[in-house]
Formats: sequence, structure tokens, C-alpha cells
Amino acid sequence: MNSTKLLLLSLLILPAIMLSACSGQVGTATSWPGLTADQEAAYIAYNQFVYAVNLSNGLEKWRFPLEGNNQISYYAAPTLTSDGQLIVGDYKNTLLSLNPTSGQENWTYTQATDRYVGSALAAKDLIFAPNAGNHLIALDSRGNFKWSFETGGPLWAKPTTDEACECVYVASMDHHLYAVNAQTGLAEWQTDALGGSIVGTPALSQDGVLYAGIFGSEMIAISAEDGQVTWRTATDDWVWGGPTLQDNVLYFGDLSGNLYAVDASSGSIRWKQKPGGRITESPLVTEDAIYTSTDSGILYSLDLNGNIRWNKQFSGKLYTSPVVSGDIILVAATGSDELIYAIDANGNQSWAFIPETKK
Amino acid sequence: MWDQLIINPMVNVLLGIYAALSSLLGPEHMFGLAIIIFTILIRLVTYPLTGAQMKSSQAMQEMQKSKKWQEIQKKYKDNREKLAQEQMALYKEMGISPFGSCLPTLIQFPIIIGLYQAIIRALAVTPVQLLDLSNHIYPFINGPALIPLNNRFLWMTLSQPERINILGFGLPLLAVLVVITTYLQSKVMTPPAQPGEQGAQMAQMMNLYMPFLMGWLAYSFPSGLALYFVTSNLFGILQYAAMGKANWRNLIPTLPKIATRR
Repeated sequence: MNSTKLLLLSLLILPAIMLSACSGQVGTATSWPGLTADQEAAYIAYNQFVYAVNLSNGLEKWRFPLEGNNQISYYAAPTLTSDGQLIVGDYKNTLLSLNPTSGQENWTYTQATDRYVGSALAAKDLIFAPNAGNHLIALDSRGNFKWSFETGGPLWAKPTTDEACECVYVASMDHHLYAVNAQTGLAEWQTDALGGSIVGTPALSQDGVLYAGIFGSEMIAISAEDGQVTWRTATDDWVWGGPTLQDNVLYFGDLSGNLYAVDASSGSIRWKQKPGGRITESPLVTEDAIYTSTDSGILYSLDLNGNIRWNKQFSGKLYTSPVVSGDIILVAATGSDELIYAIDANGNQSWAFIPETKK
Repeated sequence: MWDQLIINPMVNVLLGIYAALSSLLGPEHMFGLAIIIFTILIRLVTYPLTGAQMKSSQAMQEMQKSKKWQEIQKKYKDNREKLAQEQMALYKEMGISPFGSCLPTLIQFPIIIGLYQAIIRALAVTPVQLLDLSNHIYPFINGPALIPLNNRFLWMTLSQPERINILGFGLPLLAVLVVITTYLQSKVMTPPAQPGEQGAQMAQMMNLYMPFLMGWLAYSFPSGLALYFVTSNLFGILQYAAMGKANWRNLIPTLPKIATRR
């Protein structure tokens, strides 16, 4: 082949390589870690693995699968069930049940058409798994299909439920929120179009009000009885994470980095604080403190009046909601070697988990 | 810089077209239609480049046929260095830029890559992509009302490689269409060649490699990109035909000469 032909061929192949390079399909994280914990361990789904990490020392207990497969990735926060299963969905179309002690697979469900971005809800002896293929899928505790409920858009938000009623509430990216009968999978009601997608889990109050943040820069209160909007409160930017409800106050952030405390009865803003960085998570609220993290990699601790108590910079971005287990606060990071940091209520770090790269 | 100059404007124009179409006709299939309209817009915007490329190719071909060039070739057939010098001098004399025909093609590569990235960014099927998109929507576009974009178009899911199910087999119909239309376009774009001409050999090679390269891209990448390729190829053929530059005899050699207006 002469040099002209070689040059020409190179020019043709170059864009193909450039396109391949920017496809971001293989090995590149397309979401952030999903984190959950019990008294013994933290369970984190990130990229090609689900890890169980010992809470006492930050060491890996197990990982699933043993060997990574770059076609399969896990990001949805694993769900612990009351009968001792760990439910996790992958980015292909598989929902699987693991033994949280050993990491052994119990069963898989592979009939979904799309990926699992949101976590499953385990309640009423059933598993409700939101799938990006526009379906909420209900399985029994052995992974047998019970019903599926179709919405007009992908489901990224973990559903919520009220133990008193037989409903599962599921927020869809189609701008609607749905109440579905947990046993039959039939719709009880659906809201009118709310003005934006919902990707955060709605909060549900004891007196039957649902609270959902939408991309249309609003926090909305909806009656759980009939789906009617009770109030709407404007925010400065898209609301990504679901609100955390405590003592009749909703705590949530927006993509401009504002943290809000909103009265759940009236929708009035009690205070607003802008710590810095975009907020995609649901704040962790304890008896006397709020913990919120931002994409600038900083975890902020505030008192319940919105005063910043301390902040701590971590390496990587913090998109995942912090999780508490006993006295330990767990923070999951994206884009750093450390996947989980364990800190106490004053921000002192006890350990960091760095997944071992298998040779 | 790349984001600001290429990707963001492309994403927002795509979203703007999608918003306008959705408000008129509803969101079903509208992102595919938005890609088609956007492709035609890109073709029109880059028309000066295409026109320059055509003019340059034509001038180059005229030079190849000129008596002077043939004499120079004969005279310096054993002295490649001198031949190159004389060739450059002749380019200058005839007002030809040696890169005039390949530069416009090269400039289109970033557009293809930018468009690919814009389609993927606009479709935003993962949290990281959606978060990224939220950061790049211009204030006058009502992003929250549009998201999630309806990524279905005809039988395709635009965010995934296209396969049509025929008798249980997933056939890449769009990739086949890309191969065929790329081949057709390259054929009608290639001017009639003199036997043994170096340019003709290169064009022949391009005509062989290019359809398969584009077909491979269409096969492997989200179908939104393949839709762009097919639309771009068909519009390119129409553009050439409208300008009277299409060389139909390359496709149907039995056509009478008058059918090829050059």
C-alpha cells in the first residue's frame, strides 16, 4: 500500500476511533454508587461489582460477581429484605437476589426490557422493582413474577409504600406519580402532569401526603388518597433527590446547590442554605443534624436550623445519599479510588474502602 | 471549548427542533424527525464547504487532463522531486489549493463526532448523562418539559444500535441502508475518470472503504447516528443532482451522455 493510500485510510479510520473513544460504553461509570447498610456491613453497587464491606474495619467481605464483566454494571442501591435477601438490579436487565452474608446468588429475574437505575422496594412480602423500560415489576420473595405496571416513561425512582394501605407509589420520568394496588398491580390513581420528571423517591407522611421534587424546579405535595396536588413550592433549580421528611419538615436539595427546609403542611420555606456544589442526593437527617453532600466532593453537616456545623472534603464527587448505621456515617464517592468513607458525627474518618483490583 | 462551540449549540438546536415538533405533533417519533431536520440544516450550513470541495475536485481534474501537466509528467518522469515542484507551480498557476478537496471533508469529521455526542447527550439514558445534559441546556429551552425525550422512531430506539426483527433474527437494516446510500453517494459524486488516473484510483478506493466504514459505525453505534448518515447521504445525492453535478453514468453506464450534466 503506498503512502497516499495509507494516509487516506488513516483519515477514514480516525473518526471511527474518535467515535469509539467517546462512546463511553465499556468500563466507564454511567452513574454513581448505590449504597445501603445494615448493622454489620455496607453494601455498595458500583460499576462491575456489588461489594459487601465490613463496617467494623472497612474490609471487603465479598464481591459479586467474582470476575467483572464489562457488559454488566450495577448502580442501583441494593435493597435488604426482611427475610434476609439483598436485591440488586443491573444495567442490562437483570434483577438478582444475593445472600447478604456470603454474596451467593439466590435467584435472578431477567424478563425486564431495560436497566435498573432505581432501587427495588421490599414490602408486603413482595419486591417492587422500577425499571427504565417504563415498568414497575412486582415479584414474590423467590423472584417469581406477580405483575407489572406500565407508565409513560422510564422509572428511576425507588417506589414508596404506606403500610396501612395496599398501595405502592411510583414516580415516573413521564411527569406523573402513580398509586398502584400492591396485590393486583392495577392503578388506583395517577396525578396530572406535574411539570417535570421525578427521579427521587417521594416521601410519604403519616397523614397521607406524598412529597415529590420535580425537574420543573418545584417541590410538590400530593394527597395519597386521590393524587390531587395540595401545594407546590418553587425552587431555584431542578430537584433531583427525593425529600427527607422529619418532624413535619422536608429537607432536600436542588441542582443549583441549595438545601431547603420546607414546612410539610404549608409548603413554606423555613430556611435555605447554599453550601456549594450541585445536590443530587436525599439529605441524611438524624435527631440533631443534617448531612448533605455535593458534587464538589464536600460533605456538609448542618444543624436543624440550617447552620453549617462542619464540612469535610473528600476525593471524588458525592452524588450518593449518605447512609447511617449505628454511629457510623457512610459516604460513597464517584471518581476516586476510595469508594466508601466511614466517618463519625463530627466528621472524623475511621476508614475508607478501596476495592482491591483483582489481578 | 469543544463543548461550548460544537456540542452545546448542537444539543440545543436539536432540543429546539424537538420542542417545536412535539408542540405541533406530539412527542411520538419526533426526536428521529428532529435528527433528520437537523441533518439537513447541517448540510445546508456546510454547503460552502461542499461547494468548495466540488470546485476544487473539478479544477484538479481539469489540471490532470491538461496538456501542460501531461508534458510535465513526461518530462520529469524520472525525477520525482522536480515533478512535485512543477506540480506545485502548476497548482499555483491554475489557482488550485492542493488541500482544497480534502480539507472540507476533514472539517466534516468534527461535525460527525459532535453530532454523535449531541445525540447521545440529548437522549441522556443514564443519570450521569442526564446530569450532564441539565448543565448544558440554554435558558430559553424548557428542558424539564422535554425530558425524557421520546427516543422511539419508527421501529428504532435511537439511543441503541438498530436491529429489525425478521423471522427471529435481528437484522441491521439501517446499517445496510447506510452502506448502500454511502456507496450511491460516492458513486454519483465521482466525476468521470481518465483511464489510469491516480485520482481515479484513490476515488475507487474511497468508494470501497467508505461505505463499509460508515456501515460499521451505523451497526455499532446508537441508531440516531445511523439516521444522520442515511439522511445526510440522501440529501447529499439530491444536492448534487440539483446542482447538475451528479454523475449518474457511474451507477448506470448505459445512460446516454446527456444525462450527466457537467
